[in-house]
Amino acid sequence: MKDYLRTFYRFLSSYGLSCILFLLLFLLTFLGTLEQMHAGLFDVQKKYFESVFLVHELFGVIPVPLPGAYLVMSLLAVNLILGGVVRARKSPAHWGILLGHIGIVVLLLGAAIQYRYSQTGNLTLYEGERSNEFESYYEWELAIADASGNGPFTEYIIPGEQFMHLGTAGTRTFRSPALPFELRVEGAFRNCQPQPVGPGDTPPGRVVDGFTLISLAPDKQAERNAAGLYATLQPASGEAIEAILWGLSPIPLTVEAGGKTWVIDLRKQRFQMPFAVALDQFIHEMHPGTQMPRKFESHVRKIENGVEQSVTISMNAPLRHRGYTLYQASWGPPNAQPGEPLFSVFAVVSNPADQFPLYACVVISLGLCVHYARNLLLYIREQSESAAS
Amino acid sequence: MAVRDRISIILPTLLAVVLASCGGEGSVTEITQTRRVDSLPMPPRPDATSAQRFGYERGMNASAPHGAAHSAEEMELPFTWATPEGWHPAPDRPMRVVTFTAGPAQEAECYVTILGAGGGGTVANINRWREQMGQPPLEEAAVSALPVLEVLGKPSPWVEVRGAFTSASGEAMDDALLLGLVCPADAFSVFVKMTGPATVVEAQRDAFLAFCTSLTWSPPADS
Repeated sequence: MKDYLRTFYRFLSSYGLSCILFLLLFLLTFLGTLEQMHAGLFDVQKKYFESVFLVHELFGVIPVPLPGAYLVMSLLAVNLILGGVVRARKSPAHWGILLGHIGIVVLLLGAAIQYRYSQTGNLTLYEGERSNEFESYYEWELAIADASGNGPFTEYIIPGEQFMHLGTAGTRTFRSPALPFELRVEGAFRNCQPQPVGPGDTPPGRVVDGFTLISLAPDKQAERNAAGLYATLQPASGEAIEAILWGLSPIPLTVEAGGKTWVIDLRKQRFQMPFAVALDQFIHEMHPGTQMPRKFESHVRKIENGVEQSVTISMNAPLRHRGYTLYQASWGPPNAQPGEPLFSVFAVVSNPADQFPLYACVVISLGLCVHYARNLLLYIREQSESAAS
Repeated sequence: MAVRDRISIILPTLLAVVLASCGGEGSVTEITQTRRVDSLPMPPRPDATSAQRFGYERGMNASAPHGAAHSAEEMELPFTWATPEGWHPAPDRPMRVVTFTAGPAQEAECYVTILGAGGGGTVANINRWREQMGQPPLEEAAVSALPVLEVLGKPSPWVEVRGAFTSASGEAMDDALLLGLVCPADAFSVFVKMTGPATVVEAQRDAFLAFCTSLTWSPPADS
């Protein structure tokens, strides 16, 4: 057993494994880049870089199973820690290389933290509006809220990752002691459109209240997909309520259950910030006689614990606060007439590891400096000694 | 490396991967995530029908933000149309009077828009459509030579452009076909446009032309 473990340890920390993993990373990057000719960035990222395994179709026909970049980079981190740090020589001659390896480990660690904990999305505000929430570009969620009172409200959230993978045939039931019904998701569509069913129509799927969901091919720009699902609400007593939930519905599903009014909404995943942002004024100027933007900036107030601070967010001057960065991303409506209210769109990023690449670069640079400085000193000393002799 | 050694490496790795991929998904899942909010993003509408929730029936779409484009019903259209067989109405979209989808998998889209006065001009709009299909612009003389349909009592040129379609939002489609009609009515211009895969739109050409000619002025309210 000890031999097996030792062999396994040697394999994991071997230089050969490093070479194979780097070649695989190169291959995945190459294939993932080519794939973007046919698929969107989001789908390619999921398939090639956030997966454990994948099947690449060579020339579009020959299936080739490959490890995903998630698995390759995890193995690379283990390989680097065991081979490049634990097993590496620790003499002063190798301190520089050791530091370089530690820097790369920091880089991989930052990537892992970003993958697991970062949040990205957008916040759209009309002039005069404020919010402390931003919504994801791609991910969906089901939100159930008791809308009986005047607020504040408690929303019960079912993350999209718990039902979007079900496909058109899968089912899953969700419940909470606080809810007077169970919610059963019976088929989820990544991109779809509800369509009315006429008397002579033969819909491909289930019909609920005269509508069926028509599955559409996923959009290349994944943020344009409109998710949808069939849901059944089963109260503890009484009849079940069937409904279609669609991600672009302008009006949420509203039901009465347990003597209360409940709002159920399929929507883009929302994230809360520890502070609110209020848009006071949005300014956009075009170059004279053209539609080319010369300047667009948002005058906002950052509101936290009752304290307000005025900030201007423009193209190269984001608002950074409490680990969140708000960039000026867009504005609209594009066809706004003079005097019509405008909205400003901020790209919001929260990444606990956003400084890790900087730390890694510092450590790697330090390691290279130590390594090459030592070699230079040794060379100079050798030259002086040979000159002296 | 001996075969036995290799097996000792590969087997535990495979086992770990298989175990990691087991989701342990039960039939009932507890909802554990909650969030406190001061206001709901969309207020409850207990009386909303499915048609209203999906944007097929207008007039209840009050949750549209300030300044959003008005729905067709709010615009009190002065004309009506006949929907060709096999065309399905699609939900409201900003700036559009009505949107339909057509084709075996609803791949083609046809919609009507209205712009004030000339709406930028017939030549400019037809060339904008040609640009979206990756085609060079036409001279004014060439536009004047386009086939014409009688729509809403006005001679309305229509155009057929084949190419790689790029929508205003940057969405691309190879081998696409665009059918477009410009109807310069007195107070405004009506634009009818259909796009989609070339084979699908070709099959819908007659339906498109029939739809255009079906546009009819509504009778006055007191008649």
